[in-house]
Amino acid sequence: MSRSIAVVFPHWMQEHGHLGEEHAFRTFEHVVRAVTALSPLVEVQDIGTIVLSARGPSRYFGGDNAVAQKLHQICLDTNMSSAFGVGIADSRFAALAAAHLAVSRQHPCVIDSAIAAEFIAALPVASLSRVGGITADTVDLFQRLGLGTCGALLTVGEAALIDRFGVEGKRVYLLVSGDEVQHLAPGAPPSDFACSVEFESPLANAAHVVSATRDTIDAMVNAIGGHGQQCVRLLITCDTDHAESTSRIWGEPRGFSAAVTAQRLLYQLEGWLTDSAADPDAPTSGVVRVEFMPLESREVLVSQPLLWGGSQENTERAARAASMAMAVNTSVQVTVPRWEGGRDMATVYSRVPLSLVDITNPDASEQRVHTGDGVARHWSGSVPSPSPASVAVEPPLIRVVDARGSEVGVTGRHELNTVPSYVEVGSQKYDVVRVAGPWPLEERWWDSRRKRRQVRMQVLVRHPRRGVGVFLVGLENQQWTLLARYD
Amino acid sequence: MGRVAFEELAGMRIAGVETGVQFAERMHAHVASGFGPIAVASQLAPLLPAAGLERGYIYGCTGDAATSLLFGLVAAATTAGSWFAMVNMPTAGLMSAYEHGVALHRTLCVTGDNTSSVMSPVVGALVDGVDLVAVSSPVCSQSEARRIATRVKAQGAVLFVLGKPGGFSLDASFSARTVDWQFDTHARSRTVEVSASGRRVYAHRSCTVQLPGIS
Repeated sequence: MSRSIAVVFPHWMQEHGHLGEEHAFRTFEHVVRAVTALSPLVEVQDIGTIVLSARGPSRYFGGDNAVAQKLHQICLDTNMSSAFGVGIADSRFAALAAAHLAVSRQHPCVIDSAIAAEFIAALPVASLSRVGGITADTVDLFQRLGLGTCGALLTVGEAALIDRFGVEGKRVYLLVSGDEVQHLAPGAPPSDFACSVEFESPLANAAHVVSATRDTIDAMVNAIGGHGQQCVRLLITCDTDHAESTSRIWGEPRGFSAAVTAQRLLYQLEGWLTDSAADPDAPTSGVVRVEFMPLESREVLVSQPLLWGGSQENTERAARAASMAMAVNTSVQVTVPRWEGGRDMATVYSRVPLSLVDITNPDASEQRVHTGDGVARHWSGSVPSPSPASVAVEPPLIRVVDARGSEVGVTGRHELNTVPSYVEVGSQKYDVVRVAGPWPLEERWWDSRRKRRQVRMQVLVRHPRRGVGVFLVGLENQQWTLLARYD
Repeated sequence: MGRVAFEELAGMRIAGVETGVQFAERMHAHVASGFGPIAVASQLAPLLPAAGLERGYIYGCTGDAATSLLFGLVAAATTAGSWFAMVNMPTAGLMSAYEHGVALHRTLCVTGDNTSSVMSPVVGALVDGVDLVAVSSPVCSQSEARRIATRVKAQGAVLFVLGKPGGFSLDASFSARTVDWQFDTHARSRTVEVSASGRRVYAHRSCTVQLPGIS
């Protein structure tokens, strides 16, 4: 845990991005340079977001409040229009959240260590995606599960979060418990990828430095990529012949490519290699050494672009046909699938009325059925794929009996108490050939009113006339039901 | 009539008889006009004389794997941009459709009273704008069914009838029978034998596929 200072300009990209990302970066460089006066090593996490360690400046200026006021004044001096906030708290996530709170207050927000845990617990889960780097899909799922605050996530516990969300669950737990998230994969120490390049003669032009380091950058990015990783935080240090140096931590949530790395080096040097007459801090010689030190990396996130076959005309014809069909009779209902997730076959996709959605908007349609990138597809206890092709709307009651004709039950340890021998569906009697499962299902165990316990299993059955088939049967409240058939 | 050499046959026009070469030419012109058969997964192509679903046809699907076969047949077309409507199929597993590769954002689910006076106009309206329409056990009188068949032909849509065809006269019907289930720790996949027959299928055609598992 390290006390951090965060400075955020939430609207910087909207206000300065109209001339492109590069312009926004160059204008933001003025602010970064001003903040560097307070502490030499700052991290530019993204456009409009600066994070720095509180330890040094806080001691030097006499406490958190003093340093916050000083930063507030610096930001006021350098930037006339854009709204900003300064936050200090015990972790990076908390500091960023505090800084966002400070934006509307127009006053720095300093969270004392004594109330750090309560502060994080009261934050809404939406802040996890806004400043914590958790995907919006996951946060959306938390909200639908009734987990509204970070405190609720903390009580759910680390084991349950990791069980359901894997690596992301671990990150969520670290964030809500006030720890720092380390993307670093174990066994891949960052120093392995650190590299430096030295020039024989000092280079005074930023563009020259960038072109001279391009091979080194390519080699580093390829080396990291070769491990299936991508760098998300990078420390760049440049030294001159006269032993002056600049170091800056850059963040790039989408991962550093060679081009992006070169661009950041250019921004850093352009702000620094200025005319010494204009800026007393400017270096007096050219750059002789550039060092890159990846601080954090994570597994490569593959985002496949959506393939858009078909034409808009098809969609409009379909929408017209659907409205004509609905006009036939009031009993006619046209619905479209919407992804809901979960372990219940009947509710994994819900059917929403056509009147509530706009099917002519291709992006919205794609989003509606999107299975949630980054959210682990399979819940523990979910029925393995393939999924049944026929899912009962109202599961019929059935009997699952053993060879002596007594009903099969499940023990407290989710094991069958006897060997199933027949499944009786209505008047039909199916021989049980094999059984898979049972898979226990406990839903919303944290909510006493909505909790639900069920056991499900697959049975391979044989019927004298209908041949082999597979049923998905469920046991809830001592009653077996035929949930789905693999038609 | 004497023996006709094979090369001569290729160029001949005999009333009511279509040679293989002529059929191929017709299909080629059909595809080039953009009104050709709708592509299906390569594993299912042997079932269909044109190697795809022919526009204007009514296909039947029966057997214990009928729903899975339907998903397998329409998957390629929906990802390529065609819309798919499922009429009177409230139990169709959408997750299963997704696993078969059906593009769910181009899928409509339609339910209503299963009577001839409701279902016939609904199916008729849908075939006007949706390329692929599937209806399960329709209750349609023969005259209504004929009217729908005319609309299907005019619009170049494809209609699937699951289960009993009711009043519909099918151009081709598929029967999907599960031969074997690979079932160890859970049901993994199954081997399905699909056979095609009907008045538009020139010879008995069949193939054995894994469902799901075709692409």
